[in-house]
Amino acid sequence: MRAYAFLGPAATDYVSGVRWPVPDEPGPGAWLETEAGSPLRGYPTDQLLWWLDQHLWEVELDGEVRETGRSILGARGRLLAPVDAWTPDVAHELTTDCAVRLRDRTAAALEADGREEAAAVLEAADDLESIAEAAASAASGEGSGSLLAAFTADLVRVASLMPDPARGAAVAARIAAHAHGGGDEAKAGYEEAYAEERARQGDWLRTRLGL
Amino acid sequence: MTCKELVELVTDYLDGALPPREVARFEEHIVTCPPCHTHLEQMRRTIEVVGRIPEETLSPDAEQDLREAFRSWKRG
Repeated sequence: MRAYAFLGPAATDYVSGVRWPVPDEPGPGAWLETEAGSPLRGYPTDQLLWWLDQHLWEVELDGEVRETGRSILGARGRLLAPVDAWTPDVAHELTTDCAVRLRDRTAAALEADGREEAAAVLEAADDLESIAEAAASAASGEGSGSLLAAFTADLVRVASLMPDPARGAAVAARIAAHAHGGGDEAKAGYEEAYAEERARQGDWLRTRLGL
Repeated sequence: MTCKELVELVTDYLDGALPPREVARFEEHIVTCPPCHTHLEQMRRTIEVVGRIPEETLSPDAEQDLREAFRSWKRG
């Protein structure tokens, strides 16, 4: 079965720690067999968002293959070809997309809180640095707009602390979804709003990669 | 899932003993939290290395020390 796999340096799966054999030349790599109970992981296109890492590969899974919620597991597998459309710049675009969407929601909340000036400053911010600055400034007040502003500032700050743009995008996407959910897992409607934002991010990624 | 929750669940995760929903939450956390990822890798490596030490190769003193350490840990 064909699937995709996000991999880190040395073609290592960030979650499972499995290292895939990279082909020496264009074409499929060597088959990798795994121990029983430790299947190889691939991902369908609509679940890629959950697994962002530095490199994206098309993979083939074989043997006993089964689909779980977000993964496709196989007893053996091989790398087929890298997906060149996934680059550090695209990862940065995803971070920006998450920040801008949260910026807009935060600005609307600030306006609803009666803080038109803070909302206007935030709406005018059009790059990550200025979004973070305007959001951090708006976060000090009262109301739901302040909470969202804090999340917006955190999204940019924490993403920038990650070791590479892909990991930054993964963190940005998660913080954005958490903020859209209201920032509290116990709140009514959190799960639905969180899942909705994650699905939207996944659609963005799939469309951007042309998959 | 918080980092504290993840640390408590890491051995269950590596044993394949978590329900699917918890696995999804665990893995989502791992992807976005480098310190917890490092912890997972350290646990995985520890199990890999320690799992290769046959029990009969332990000296009686080492075995006693391990038992004491385990009892202290369980007592908190």
